[in-house]
Amino acid sequence: MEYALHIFEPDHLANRGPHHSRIYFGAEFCQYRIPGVETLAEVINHAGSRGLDFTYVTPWVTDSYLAKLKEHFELLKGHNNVEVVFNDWGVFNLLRREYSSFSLILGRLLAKQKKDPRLIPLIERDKNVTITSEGAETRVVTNILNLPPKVIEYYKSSNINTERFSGYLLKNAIHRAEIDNLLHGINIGKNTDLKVSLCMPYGYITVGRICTTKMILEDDYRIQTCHDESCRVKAFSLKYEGCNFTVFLQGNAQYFFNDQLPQNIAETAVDRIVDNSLLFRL
Amino acid sequence: MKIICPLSDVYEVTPLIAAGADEFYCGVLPSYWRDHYGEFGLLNRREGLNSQFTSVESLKETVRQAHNSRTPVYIALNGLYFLNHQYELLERLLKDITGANADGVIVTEIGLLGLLQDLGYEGDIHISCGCNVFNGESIEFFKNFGANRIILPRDFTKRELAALSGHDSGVELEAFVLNTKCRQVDGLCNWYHGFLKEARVLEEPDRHIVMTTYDANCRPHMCGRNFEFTAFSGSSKPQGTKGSHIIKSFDKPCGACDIYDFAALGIKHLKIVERSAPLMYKEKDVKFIKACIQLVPKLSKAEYVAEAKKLYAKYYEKQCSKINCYYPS
Repeated sequence: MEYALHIFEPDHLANRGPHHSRIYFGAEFCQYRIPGVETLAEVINHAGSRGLDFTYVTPWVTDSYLAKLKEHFELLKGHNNVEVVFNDWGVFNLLRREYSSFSLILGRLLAKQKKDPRLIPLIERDKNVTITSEGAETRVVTNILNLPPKVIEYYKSSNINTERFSGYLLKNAIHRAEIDNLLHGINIGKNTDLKVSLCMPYGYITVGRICTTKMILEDDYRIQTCHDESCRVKAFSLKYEGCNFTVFLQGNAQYFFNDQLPQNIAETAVDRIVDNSLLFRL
Repeated sequence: MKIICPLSDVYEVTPLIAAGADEFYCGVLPSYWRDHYGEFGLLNRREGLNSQFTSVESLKETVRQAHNSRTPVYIALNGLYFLNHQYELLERLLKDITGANADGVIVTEIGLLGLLQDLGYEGDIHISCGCNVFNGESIEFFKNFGANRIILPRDFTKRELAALSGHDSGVELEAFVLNTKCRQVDGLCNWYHGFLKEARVLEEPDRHIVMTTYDANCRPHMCGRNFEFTAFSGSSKPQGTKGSHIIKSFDKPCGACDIYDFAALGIKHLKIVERSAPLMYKEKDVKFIKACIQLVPKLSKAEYVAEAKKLYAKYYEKQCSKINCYYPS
């Protein structure tokens, strides 16, 4: 098993453990967090000087930020063995056409999974589901759902499980995909040439262009652009009404927490753990 | 410009065409799919049966009636992903959709796009907003799968829309214009939208059951719920911030003011959403957007925007609000 450390700021490099042989760096969910070229150069040079492998992570982008990514790809062209995680088919289209020397990885925004923690009791077929509401007593309610086995399989699986999707990836020289460590378990088969990275402990649930962090900080519900990067210094935990789990908010993305390796990991195609525990180290 | 209207039953065809609908889109969940996957929204991201056709026969009759008025019908197959065993049923469904003379399909999943290519599918292929086409390279990517239309994400600013529509790709662009806007990006959100409705058991008032629903009034969606927030405790710079928040839902989100710019940008397909809305609401929505479209060639932009706001007030008996604009500046 390979262990990679996902850093979000250059000074996170100091947190690297001896088992981390690879550094992930870059913005995964927000184009406004794409680092400057100088910062990227600093991190990749640091990794190279210590014999660490390097993976550059990219988000989904509008046209103007695609141009910014292109500057980064030009910089990365000067380095060997660079991996790039793409989370936007347009970014992939550009990489495939103009940067064929990079090893491409399907990001977890494109490796589809259902991640709602509320699925746990349904999948585990709990007949009693505890529901708490703000200002109300905790109640035990009866779950009348009886999910068909194939639906349970669906919720534990991903598009990377399928021959059609993974076949497309392999045909296009994409030999690795990233997924989240679902709280209700993962079902990622081993019989595939597609290698899989498991991102943990923070698994992303949702991401918005209207930034929830700015909504909290500025009480503004319409912000789609961002220039102050307040998410670099502020992050939150959220408790949704009626839910007995905690959601973690970093910038425009919401996450669940799961630091337990899947019991069946040996039966899966997972051969890399991407440690994103520094996500909330502000 | 064309109005793309949601459809969920055959009886809606005639009145919606009379109101001004130019194209329809709908879902179908036939029994051979339900036998394996129930009514869960795996096929087209709609739970339950109230917002879609339940048989190929009913779809066929609907398409026949729509075609009598030369109105095309597109079928949503926009599940975010499918598993191997679902592809066999998808193949069968595609044959049935073709047999029903539907004009095309709305697709998200790359594997399904590959299947369409392998089958030599001859209908139109529309790329769902779930594909998050935010840039011109994405348009090119999906064009290579034979797509002839891209349904744009809800999450653009006006400036970004203008930049994207500047790509001369030869692919039609469809933009949302009314209803159902979310703060999260549609194709990137993994909250489950199918549950939960709590219902009291009649004979035991203190007991509740949990059931699937697609009833927004029951707040099954996380994006409409209150939450309490606390500054993250692992932060090296504690903020001491704590409080609660209500994520206000959009109230009749609308992009009618932007229709004037859409016309100039070459965005010719305007999508009204909410497949499960009652017919009377759908009719009203279509009439409103139709009235707006008819104003475009007659007025300056400033005059148009003023008139569109008046029309909104007339149709929905309330003033429009900037907070509910689909496309902010």
